[in-house]
Amino acid sequence: MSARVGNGSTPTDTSLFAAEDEVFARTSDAYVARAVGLAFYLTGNRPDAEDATQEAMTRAWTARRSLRDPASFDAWFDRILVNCVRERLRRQRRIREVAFPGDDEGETGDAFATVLARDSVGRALSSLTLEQRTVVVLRYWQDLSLGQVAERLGWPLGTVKSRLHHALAAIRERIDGDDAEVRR
Amino acid sequence: MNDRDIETEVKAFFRRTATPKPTARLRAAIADSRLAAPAPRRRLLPTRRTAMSLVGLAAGVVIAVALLLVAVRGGTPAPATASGATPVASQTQAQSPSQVPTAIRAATSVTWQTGDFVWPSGLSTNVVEQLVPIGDRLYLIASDNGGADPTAKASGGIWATADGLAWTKVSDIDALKAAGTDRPELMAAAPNGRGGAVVVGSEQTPDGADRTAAWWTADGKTWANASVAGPAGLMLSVASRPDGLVAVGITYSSVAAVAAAWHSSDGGSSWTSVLLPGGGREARDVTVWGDRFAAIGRSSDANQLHLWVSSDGATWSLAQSPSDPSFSPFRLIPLGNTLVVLGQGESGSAILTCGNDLTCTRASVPGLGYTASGTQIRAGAEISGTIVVNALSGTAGTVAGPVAGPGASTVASPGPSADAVPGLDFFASTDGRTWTTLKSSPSLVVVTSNLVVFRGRLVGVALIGPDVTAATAKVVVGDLR
Repeated sequence: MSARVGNGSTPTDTSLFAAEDEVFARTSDAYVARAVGLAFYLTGNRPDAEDATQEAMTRAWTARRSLRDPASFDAWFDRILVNCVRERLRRQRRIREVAFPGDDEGETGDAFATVLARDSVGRALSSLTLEQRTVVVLRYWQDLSLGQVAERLGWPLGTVKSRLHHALAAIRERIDGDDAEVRR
Repeated sequence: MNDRDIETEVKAFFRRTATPKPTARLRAAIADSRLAAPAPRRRLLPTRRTAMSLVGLAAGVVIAVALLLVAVRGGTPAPATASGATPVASQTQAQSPSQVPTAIRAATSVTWQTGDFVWPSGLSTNVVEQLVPIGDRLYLIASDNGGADPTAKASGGIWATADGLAWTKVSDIDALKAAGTDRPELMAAAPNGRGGAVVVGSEQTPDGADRTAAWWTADGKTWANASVAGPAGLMLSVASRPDGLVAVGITYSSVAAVAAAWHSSDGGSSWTSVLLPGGGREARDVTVWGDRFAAIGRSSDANQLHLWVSSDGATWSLAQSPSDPSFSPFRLIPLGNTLVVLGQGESGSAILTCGNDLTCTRASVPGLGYTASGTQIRAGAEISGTIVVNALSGTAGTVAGPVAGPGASTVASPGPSADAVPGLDFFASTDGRTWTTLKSSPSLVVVTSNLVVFRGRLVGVALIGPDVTAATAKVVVGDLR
């Protein structure tokens, strides 16, 4: 579907919005895989990552008119996703949610989460606060500059630098602790 | 290792770790949600915006005139009361087990009435809401904490009721907003022992960080920010007794989250923090258990149970962790000499009971727990010597067998359909060890994390409807029979 613009005709709001919606849907569909990855590293497990992604996609769709520049979709969406994850983790503190069985991993649990738990860096990541983890994942997994991370999260650059510094210190402390445990 | 080495390690970790790919089910769900989503607000052209403003102004004038007429004719009509309301007793707290009539102890069902509380349009049902008695009324405090939009202010409000059924709005949630933040995170509430109440949680600062926060009130209408000493963090639960209040949660005193407690001896206007012993990562709930406070939480590197006790809220000791490493607790309910712990096992909800010697054992709950993976405990409360717990169940693949015994109902057995609708089961126990299923009438879809006892009746916020997607949030009032 496309809107006819030009040739002296004035497109109706409906046709313009329909075209915008289709572009938005395609853009967000193309971003789902990256969104699941980001959510996975923030939540530490696949079921929560998928739920958070779906929630963020729904919210993004509802708020799609507020995206002024389609080229900045990634940053705009990441911010929504990070806040969905944050909300989700908060809710889980009050209502302990359970990943219902039936996914392809069966009842033995989340294979991806297991991989994280077996890796010393993965364990260290899970020990960070959500704010620290978010900075680490955006900086090293998404390979963003500190300025881009600050822009995505709406945090001052100094805050991002400080959180990254503390996060790296915590990861080092955790890895050193694991190494000492192995040597014992 | 220096920072450069750590950076290299972290980058290598992301390169070697496989991330999950979106499933077809997720993509389909996203597509479905677009169809079901409400139409977005459109950016209006200036002329249309002006026209809408004029329409709004005209509507405002009409409403103002109507309100004036109502006032002239005798004031605001009283809120409607649900028909068939059961007369309530005068007490606001549960009776002790020794006062409990035998008929209540042998409860086999729970019946619900729906209050007239109308969930505000535009406020998500995913809000965190608190139910807390203040004076002779029960208050409902609901906030969406600003939702997913980091620039949004929190929405919500404060409502009050004398019977759980007829509700009136007391104020907007602005009453709990502090200077410098529009995003209070209200995680728990309790009476403050002086006729008022406290709400605890955190505030989100403009740079996205958590700052421990608490609010207190003497009358439910006027709220004040408490002074909270100690590092930043998040209070998750609060309990009170006449000589003081205790909250528990997490702090970020080092580079990672650490379990912590706060105590107040002035009705919640000032708090002092203390780290809980044992290196726990998070303290989830706290309660008054006999003459001491008891708190529950998790260890740093696994879902191991940590049970702390304190006589004064300032000095804590870590009880020996039960040998149940997979158990992740989230709620404590005292019942005489027994402490009932609601939580999750490796494949479903589970309940532990702990005795005075602080040793805990797994309770036998037909239809709940390891044998019924997929069940999900939502809330629980003690009423007249009976603990009532509700659990979401009936998901795909979950088959929990029928429960034997007089009056017991059959636990949902949804069969193989992947689209099976979750149902809500209620379980009851008078000793925390043996449990039966209560028949619920009518069936509720979900009761949220709040289930309290007010004037001898259960009160909670429930989603009611044919399924979760079409459910409406209501306040429900229940009686055991």
